Amino acid sequence: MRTRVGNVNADNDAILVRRCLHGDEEAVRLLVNRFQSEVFGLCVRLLHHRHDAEDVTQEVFLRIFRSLRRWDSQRPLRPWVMRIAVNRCRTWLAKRTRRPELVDYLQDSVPAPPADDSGELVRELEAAVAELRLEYRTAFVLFHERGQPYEDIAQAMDRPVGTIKTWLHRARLEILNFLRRRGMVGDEAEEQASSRNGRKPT
Amino acid sequence: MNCSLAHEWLQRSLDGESVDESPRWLAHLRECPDCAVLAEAAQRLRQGLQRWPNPSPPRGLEARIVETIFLDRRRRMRRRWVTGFALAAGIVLALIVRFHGMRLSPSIERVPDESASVPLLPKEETAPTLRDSAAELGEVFTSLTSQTANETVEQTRRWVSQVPSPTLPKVDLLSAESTARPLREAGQGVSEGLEPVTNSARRAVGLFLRELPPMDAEPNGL
Repeated sequence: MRTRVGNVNADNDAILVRRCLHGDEEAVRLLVNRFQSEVFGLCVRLLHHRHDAEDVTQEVFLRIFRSLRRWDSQRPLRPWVMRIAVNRCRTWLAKRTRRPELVDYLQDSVPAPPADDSGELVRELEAAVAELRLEYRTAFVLFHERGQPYEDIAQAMDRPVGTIKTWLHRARLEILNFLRRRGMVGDEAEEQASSRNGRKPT
Repeated sequence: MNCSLAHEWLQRSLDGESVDESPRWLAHLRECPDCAVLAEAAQRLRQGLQRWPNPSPPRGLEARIVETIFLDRRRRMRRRWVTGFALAAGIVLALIVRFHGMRLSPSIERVPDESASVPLLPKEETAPTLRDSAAELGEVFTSLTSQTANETVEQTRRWVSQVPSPTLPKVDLLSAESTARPLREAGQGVSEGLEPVTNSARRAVGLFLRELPPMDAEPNGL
């Protein structure tokens, strides 16, 4: 069943791409519309900056349409698109570290979370994700936010599935420890763990 | 269940598998506070992920992207056309030059070979035109080239004759001759090799002169 659905999607992808290559404006719009949220969302999470994410999203689509002929129609389109997005973000980040910054990225990040109790948790989660190294962050965002399976993430990041699993597991552990350090876990449980290990709760 | 297995179960639960309710897992959490804290942190992570706002693209981004794509496509198309046109024009130009060169070659052959003795200044006292100057330049260039060729040949001959034979006292004349022959042949080769260069230079100058516009009808009113 899943294979059939996969085949149908692949066929749709191939038709859409063929139309784009023939200069069909509607098909171009469709393709952009289909992937822009995912690409933009990933860019925001990886770059932690909305304006940069907009620029990189434009670049990503430009790259996609320039190299659309090179897409292997036997493979799904989404991981290929995400791979270009990941690579562009990586390049952008490498460039950004080489040039002086005038703005604070956290000031211009994603929309502010709600001001209630859950807001703090979301803020801490964002801070934890921002602290991850790029590979871990990419795997985490693609899996937990974009809901992509390991196989697609492996294609997007051009790494074996085993590596992706390792990165994702480490990313989660780092985030869990971050949440613990920031007091996001119940005091009772922390106290129990601390008393067992003979240390004060953080 | 040990902690290592518990961590694995935790990861599987975060993968979306339903392992949380397993009695073994729950029993371990009751026994191990560290794993219990980690499990609670995982629960907080799940809550956080549910509330994590999905960054939505700004309004108008799609239109901007589509516009950029079409602009880029037009630009690339134009560049492709220009490149193709330039290539075609280059080929046509090369063909024209070649065709004219073949037609002009007999007249170029008429340029005298003993041009080394051509004076640098014209004999007439009138001011030289651009065409005359270019012709002189061509002739000078030709004569210089052939002069260099002659000098090289002459020098090579001299070097060949000065090959020190005393260093090889026991070598008989026949073998010495066989040693010197390649050098002599090399000298002749240089001479013959420079011949086409001289001819080509002469031909190029002739073509250049043919293509020059007439200088007599210069506007005087400027």
